Amino acid sequence: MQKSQETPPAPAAGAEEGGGHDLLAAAIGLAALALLIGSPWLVDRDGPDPFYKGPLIFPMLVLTLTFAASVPMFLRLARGPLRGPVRGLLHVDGGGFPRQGAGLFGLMCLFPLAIGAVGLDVASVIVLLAGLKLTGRGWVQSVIVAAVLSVVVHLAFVTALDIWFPKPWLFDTITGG
Amino acid sequence: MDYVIQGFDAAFGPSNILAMLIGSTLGLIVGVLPGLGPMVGMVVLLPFTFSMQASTALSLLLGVFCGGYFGGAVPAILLRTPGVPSSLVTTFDGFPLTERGEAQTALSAALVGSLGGGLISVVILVILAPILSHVAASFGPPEYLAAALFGVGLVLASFRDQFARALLLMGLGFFLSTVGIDGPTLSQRYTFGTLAMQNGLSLVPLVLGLFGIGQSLLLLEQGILKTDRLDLGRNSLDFSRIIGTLRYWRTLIRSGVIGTFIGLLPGPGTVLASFISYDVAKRRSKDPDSFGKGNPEGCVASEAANNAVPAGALIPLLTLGIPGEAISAVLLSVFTLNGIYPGPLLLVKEPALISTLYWSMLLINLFSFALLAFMLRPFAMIVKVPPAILSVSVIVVSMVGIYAVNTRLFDCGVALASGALGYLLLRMRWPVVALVMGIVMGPIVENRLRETLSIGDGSLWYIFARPVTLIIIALAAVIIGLPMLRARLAARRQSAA
Repeated sequence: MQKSQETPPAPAAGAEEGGGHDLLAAAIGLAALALLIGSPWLVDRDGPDPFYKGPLIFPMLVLTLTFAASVPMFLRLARGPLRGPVRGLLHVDGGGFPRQGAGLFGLMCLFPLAIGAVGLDVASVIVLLAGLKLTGRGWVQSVIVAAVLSVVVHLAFVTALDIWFPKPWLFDTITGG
Repeated sequence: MDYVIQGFDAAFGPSNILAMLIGSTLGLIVGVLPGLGPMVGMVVLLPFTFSMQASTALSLLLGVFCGGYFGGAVPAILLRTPGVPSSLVTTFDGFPLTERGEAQTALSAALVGSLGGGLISVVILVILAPILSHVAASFGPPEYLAAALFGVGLVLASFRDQFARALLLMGLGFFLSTVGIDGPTLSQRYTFGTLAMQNGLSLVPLVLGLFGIGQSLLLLEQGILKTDRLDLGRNSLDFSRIIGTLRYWRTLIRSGVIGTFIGLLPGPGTVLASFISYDVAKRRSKDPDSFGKGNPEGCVASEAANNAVPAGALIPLLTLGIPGEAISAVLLSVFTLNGIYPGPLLLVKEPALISTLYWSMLLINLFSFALLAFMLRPFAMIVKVPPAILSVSVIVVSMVGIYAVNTRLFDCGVALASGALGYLLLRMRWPVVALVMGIVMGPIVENRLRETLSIGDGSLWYIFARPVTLIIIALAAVIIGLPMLRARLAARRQSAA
């Protein structure tokens, strides 16, 4: 009988209830309010349609709805100090900052730029290898997985689907092409 | 009859069979892997479907959809870790059976339950879809608006314990759907003068970001499974146990029907279907005390119900064009990208496609059953793949897939932003489904609202003089309002005591 399974860790304090939730809701609500106020300038209203047929009615309705939904959280925030530690938002990895996730996310932000610079194939290998190393995998496993998956990605997207990818400017610059 | 034969031919065509096999296999894999689930599998595959015929693309995605629910039972029974959320109920009896050394009995019950539930739901779909379609044919814009708002209301009501958050996210989703050029007036909305924003925020990068990237980052963080042993006894399913499972045929049929009808309602989804079905089976059983201690009937009830949900969810999608949940929303995008608009006329305009869909659903259930039954050990061993490898692979494939849809690097940026938001929301257990429903339902609600307002010259009062609209509003009041009122009263009574 196996017994070595682990259930997912419970959310850290502050992630389940408290100020972090209110803060996030308030941020979304504030953004909605700003967009609502700015809507007359952010939506082109040059057309001849009356308001009820026009492009502004629905966005204004839904932004009002979004802001209204955030009001209780706003009030809770305004009433006093944050309930529960806001830092609970960051301390989600069993009580620590999710370094691996943040690092991987940062790496993925560079991936589109890398595709433009060095092309899909090289960018895939580099990003996969870096991502796997970042998440604690060994060199041999990382190299094998990166190589295999890069070939799969190439076969699926370039060979099978014939997708156009940008010409790698970095190689062109180096080779003068 | 011609369309039935045409559908049969198309469903048994080589490309369709291949799509179903790939879809079911991938569905089983993402189902077996806790933390991924069919939604991630479907959104990762979505970019690949754009060059396919509608029927092939739907077969592929439906394969993932159904296969995911089949696969979810395996880790639930062997490791007490549900592969998909609804398989949580399967752990109640599945894992105690495994502990007693009867894993094969539990797996047989779950697989027979899944197969039976899937087949029953397809039969109900075939019977119910034309009837609902016939009713929906008399709908005008006000009725559609009422039906869409009913769906939205049900989604919100299903998150009544975090209603404000669901409303907030639904509103945000609605708003995101308005960005870009407005179809009827060709006006730019919230584009901030940029060319890239004029095409709007596509569904694929948004959903792939929320689920593909967000869920993968979460998977990396949580790790979820660490297991060294899987006690299966043999490589395939022990077919001799299936006969024993068939004595629960009443539970099987009842759970299949419950699952289909819960799938039909927007919002509640598979978890509720499994819970209700399990509860009914327990109450109807001659030996209710054995539930939770290793009764195979519990596995049958739970799995039959959750596997009946996909076909149930197709009913409002095909007849009204309204997706009941996030996964149906992904299917809706496949229809619309192929120039097919689900609604009451779909069954009249595309009978061959619908017939293919019915046959495909039947085949997918059979394929998923057979694949898992004959290759039980290989699929079960998938849980040993390290989460880090899965996370990195899913994110990279998602990113390339997002770019491939429109060949725009801008979409990758959208996906990364929604991935960060998705991670945060999933980690904080906010109802992300409400956000996806908002994005998908936004254009439907907006168009119907403007049409309805145009008919009434800016007034909505006239819709209360339309009987069908009134019926939908009354239904909404009963189905959404009553449980909320009852919960409020119960809470008040509890606090008074």
